[in-house]
Amino acid sequence: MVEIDEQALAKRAKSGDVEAFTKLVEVYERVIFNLALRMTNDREDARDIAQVVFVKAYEHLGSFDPRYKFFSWLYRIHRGRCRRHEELDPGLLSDGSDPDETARAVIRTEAIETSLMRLSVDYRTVIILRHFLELNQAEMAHILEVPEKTVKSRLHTARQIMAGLLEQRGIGRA
Amino acid sequence: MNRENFERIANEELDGVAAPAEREALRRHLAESTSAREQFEALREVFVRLKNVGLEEAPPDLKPSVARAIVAQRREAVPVSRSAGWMEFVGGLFRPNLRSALTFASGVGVGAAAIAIVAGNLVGSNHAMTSDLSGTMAPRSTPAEERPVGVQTLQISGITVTADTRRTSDGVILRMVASGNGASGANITAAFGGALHPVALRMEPPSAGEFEIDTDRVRVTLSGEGACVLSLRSESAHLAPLELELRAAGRSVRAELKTDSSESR
Repeated sequence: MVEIDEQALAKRAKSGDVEAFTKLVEVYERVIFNLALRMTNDREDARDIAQVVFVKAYEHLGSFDPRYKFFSWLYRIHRGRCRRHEELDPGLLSDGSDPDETARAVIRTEAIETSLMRLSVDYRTVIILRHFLELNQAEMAHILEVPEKTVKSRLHTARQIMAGLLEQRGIGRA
Repeated sequence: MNRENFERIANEELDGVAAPAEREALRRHLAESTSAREQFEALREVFVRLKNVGLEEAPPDLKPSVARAIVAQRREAVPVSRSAGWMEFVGGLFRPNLRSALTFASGVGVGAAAIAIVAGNLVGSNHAMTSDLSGTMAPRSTPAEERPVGVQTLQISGITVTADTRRTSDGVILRMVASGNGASGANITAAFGGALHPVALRMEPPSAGEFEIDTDRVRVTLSGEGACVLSLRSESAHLAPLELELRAAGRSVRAELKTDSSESR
């Protein structure tokens, strides 16, 4: 990724510089799309969510504080959009389903992606931020507005659950 | 080592942040416990598989879609400056040297005249503006405003690219349609002279390919059958022909395409 002065771009965008906002879209479109993709497991939904995130960001640029990271702000907009998506598709979040059915689902489809989708939103989120977007725990804590120890705890639990789901498929342990 | 410590240190080790002393303690624990080794390997498998998933590319139509939505929003919010806003935003999607050209064209002073010229073609009527912004990236003239001036067909290994040019009141529209089973991997370059300036480009459908647009040429990589439509604004009534090149399957063919009174070869 090209190094950019994100704060300067964000300030310019906030003052009405559309080119600066375009540059921010270029920088973050892949990240926001992948966030949405891993939360929904559906490319079309992810594309729609990503589009809405950027349009909402543009609409509300006035409320962005350039002292903070643009991504953190985008993430919060994204989170709001995903919540709406989840409300429309409550099955996405169900984590009390039959374990046998869960195991069969894992076998039927790509194991790791299916396992990810079986996690609750909080656990899935930390996995995505850490493993796909490669944020460190301090960055994750800032974005999620929770203590670092909470991030660490969620991350460890999420990985443990995923290991268990992979094990059900016969992957991971000898 | 108790279970809680083991899980914490195992995660830190795989995250690459374990302290040396704890790493050594983990190593000893793993050497002693078959169960711990199995758990550690299961956890490592999660890391490996997550790493293998990786990030996917954003859909190629995401950025243009955002552009369209924002342009529409600006049009409603600031009707007086909508032409400039459209130019600024679409210009921002292109490469820096084109952005410079568009910035110049939409600048103060000559910018006012330039915008007036472009607006006549691109956002001159409510009908054109509405239809274009709802479905495509680049505005287009209505057929009545267009005058066909040139057509060329280029072929390589089952790939056929038909290109035609049309004059409008203040510019040229180049349309290139690729077809054939071998369309995948076709690269087309259209070079234009100094009197023409690219204003907008759209792919139909957006998934048909990718493009790079510069101040004097556009390069299109077609990944399937589809069309690429480039709008060029002209500053002169006498224009040089467009130079087309199709590259595919390790070969290339070239042709010239007239834009006004010049002859195609």
